Amino acid sequence: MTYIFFSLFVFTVCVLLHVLLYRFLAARGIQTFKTIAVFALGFMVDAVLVIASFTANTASGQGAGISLMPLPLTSILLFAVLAALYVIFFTSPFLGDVSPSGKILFLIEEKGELSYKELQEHFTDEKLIIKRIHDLLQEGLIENKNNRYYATKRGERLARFLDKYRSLLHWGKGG
Amino acid sequence: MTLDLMIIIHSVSSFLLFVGIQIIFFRMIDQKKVIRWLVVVFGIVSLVSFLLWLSIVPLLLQTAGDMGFLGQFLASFLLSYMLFSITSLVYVLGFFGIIESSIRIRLLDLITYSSDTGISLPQILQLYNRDVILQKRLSRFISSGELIFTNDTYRLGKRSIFFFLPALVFKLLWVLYRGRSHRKD
Repeated sequence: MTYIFFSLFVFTVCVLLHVLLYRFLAARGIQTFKTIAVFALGFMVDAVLVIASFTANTASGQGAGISLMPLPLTSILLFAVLAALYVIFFTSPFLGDVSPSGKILFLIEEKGELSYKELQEHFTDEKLIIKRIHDLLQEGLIENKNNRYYATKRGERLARFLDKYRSLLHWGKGG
Repeated sequence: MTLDLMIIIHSVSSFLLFVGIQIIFFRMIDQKKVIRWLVVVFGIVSLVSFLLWLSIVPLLLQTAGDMGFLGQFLASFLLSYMLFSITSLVYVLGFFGIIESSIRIRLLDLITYSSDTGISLPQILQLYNRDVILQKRLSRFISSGELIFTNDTYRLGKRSIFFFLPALVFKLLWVLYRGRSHRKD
């Protein structure tokens, strides 16, 4: 279990470092997704230290009796899935996106009850659609020619791949 | 086989079972009831996962350390279950969720499958706009029971931790990274 706690500790340190690094760069006008490299580094540190410690303990014959359920692989995998989950959560503040679903629930929680018209007032096509079209342009998934939008090759590949998964479920379009 | 490997194999198997059952079930369900069915599938796989773990008890007896059998059994199952749950959440939020509810992906889809002459912004907004987005989500929430619609107003219904907890984490990260509530955006 020691390795589990160690991996959780390394993960927590990575989160703190990531927040500090992101805010340091953002204050200087730099907004980049590459800050998630902190977690890649954390993963390597975690893996190396856990495996080295386990190897040393096993070699010296200390084994399970002292470290109580030594689980080096589980602890490394735990770090990896926590980091993956964290990066997914991070995309929302990074992109400046508020999930409309989350916003609906929080608005209704705050006000107690809302009519459809009152809910509408908190959402605009500008923030929901136009901003995301600009994001797709920036990511190189679509392009604008004479005020008409076209998918790039990359965008088309992604759309068709996701479409295949949707057809596996016999589902209509999402969104 | 070591306990370490057993935990990993068990959690990976549970996750693959979750994805497999989700794909099979979701071919038959109403798309509006996605949240409810995700919870049902997760519940079914959780139960199967526990039964699977019980079936390897004889193997565990061979590897019992100084925590005692019951302690080892519970702690190792909880670890495996935690790995399975987090991996499933990564899949739901990072892959399935994107396909089901991502606005960007919907827009990409619209643009990709538009005619060879492309599509203009007014045409996009005619097909997909604030009202379409709102109504889809409200419909989903009402189907799952998270919202109740009476007397022309929406109120909170039963709170599903499967939705509220991630939403709370998003909110917290917004404050951590942007230094302000998401409501100010």
